[in-house]
Amino acid sequence: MQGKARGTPRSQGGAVAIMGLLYGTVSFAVIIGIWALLWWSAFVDRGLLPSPAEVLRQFTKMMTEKQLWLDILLSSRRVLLGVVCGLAIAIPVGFVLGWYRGIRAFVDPVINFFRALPPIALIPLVIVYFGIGEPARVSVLIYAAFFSGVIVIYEGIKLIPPIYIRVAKALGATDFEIFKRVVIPAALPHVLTAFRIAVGVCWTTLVAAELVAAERGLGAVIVSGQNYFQVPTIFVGIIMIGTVALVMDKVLRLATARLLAWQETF
Amino acid sequence: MSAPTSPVARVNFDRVSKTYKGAQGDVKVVSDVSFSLGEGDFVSLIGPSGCGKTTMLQMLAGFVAPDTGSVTLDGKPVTGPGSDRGVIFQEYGVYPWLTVEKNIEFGVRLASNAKPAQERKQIVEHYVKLMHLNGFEKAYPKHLSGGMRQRLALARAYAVNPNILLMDEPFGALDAQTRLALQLQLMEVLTEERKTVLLITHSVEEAIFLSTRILIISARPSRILRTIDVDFPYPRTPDLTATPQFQRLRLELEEISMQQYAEQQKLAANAR
Repeated sequence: MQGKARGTPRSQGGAVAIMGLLYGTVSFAVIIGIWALLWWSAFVDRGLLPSPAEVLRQFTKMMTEKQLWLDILLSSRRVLLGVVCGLAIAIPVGFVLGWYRGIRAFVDPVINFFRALPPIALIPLVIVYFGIGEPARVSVLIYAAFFSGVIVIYEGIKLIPPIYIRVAKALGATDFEIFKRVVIPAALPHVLTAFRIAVGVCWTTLVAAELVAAERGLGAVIVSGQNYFQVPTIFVGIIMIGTVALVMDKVLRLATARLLAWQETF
Repeated sequence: MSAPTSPVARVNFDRVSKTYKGAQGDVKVVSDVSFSLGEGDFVSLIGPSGCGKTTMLQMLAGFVAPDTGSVTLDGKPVTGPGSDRGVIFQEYGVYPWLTVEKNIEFGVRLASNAKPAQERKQIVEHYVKLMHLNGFEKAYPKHLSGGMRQRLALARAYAVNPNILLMDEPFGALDAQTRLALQLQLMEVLTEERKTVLLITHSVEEAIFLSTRILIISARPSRILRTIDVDFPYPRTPDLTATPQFQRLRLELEEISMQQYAEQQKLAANAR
């Protein structure tokens, strides 16, 4: 990629963003279209498959009468808390493991053991320890965020080209300066990837946790829909989870594009 | 073998040897090498690939320690890297997350060489101009061509004002045109700010054009086979390369290096 100087990246970025939005809208429109067609053809029992309009009505009703916004807020808050706390631990640990080979050999098997455990499998244990309150749910999420993030960060640090370190040394940098001015910026892309992965894993885990034990939250919404056999409610819950996760991912991707404007892309 | 020592020797390699220990046995890469660099010398090392030239350069840079013998700089043994020696790597190593000007001022922001902001600005302006990077001050390296990246790496190394430059095949990855342009620019820069230079190159022509002295290195383990003084006066211009003296020297050196290449091939074949 030793191309000549290219056009201004910012204007290209704007056009790409608009196209992306357009493509996204079209693909969702297609899915809703197929759904509507499926409902209209009555190919699937209408008691099991509500129409898009029905789900929309249920959504408005839940927003105004059942404080659906509170469920969205609670779930989002749990995910954010889990991701932020989990990565607050994973970032320093990942840097240390990536940097010191000796420690890595020692800790690697342990990390891989815990990473292999699905966080959901820990929920019963966590309930025994913490009950079914907020600490139980958030601690599972911190666990999930930590183990999904730490590996991305330390693998990323291992991949920093040694030439970058050598150049800094040759210019007279101290170890701390190398860390601050080379390792951190070079690792930033991996830290941002860790955030995206952690957000995904935390949503999966959260919903599972809320299905088991929660009075409120999007997982609880889905369970209540099941208990009262209100299929539209289940649909609203599912769509809300997807939407909020999509928004979070989009925010992270925008942050990535902004912080990593220097990165070479295909 | 005793090295020709100029009275103002700044760098001294004294009976230096180095062996790398590997899974397939030990490999002796440098064997009893002695030479020195005086103030303002431009010394090129030419020899077959994998012959240990880079190891020699890295010893002076402070990345590798010799097993026996000593490498001294102004009388003191080299113990580690430092900003008194500017190193230019073949793979540039410009920082992709920094703009051109931030790359150039990287070294003068470090505690060991910290300069006030005003002075940093002047340094950046000076080297942007000297290395013909005007108009790209705020660009990230991804928008630069290979030749520009290498010029940026040079500017960054120059900015901390090292008086010795160590260049490991700096133009090796560039096309012939860019390479020539950069050689001329280096000549221009050295005329303006004279440095002591140790250059590793595969190109006999490049070595003759730039150097005041050329050391021909043998196939592994490295020994100095020949030392050739290149007397053409500085600054040199491209028409020098068309002179019969230049061409005669080029043919002579190419013959020796072809022999060395053949020997290295034999060595590699035997190793297999």
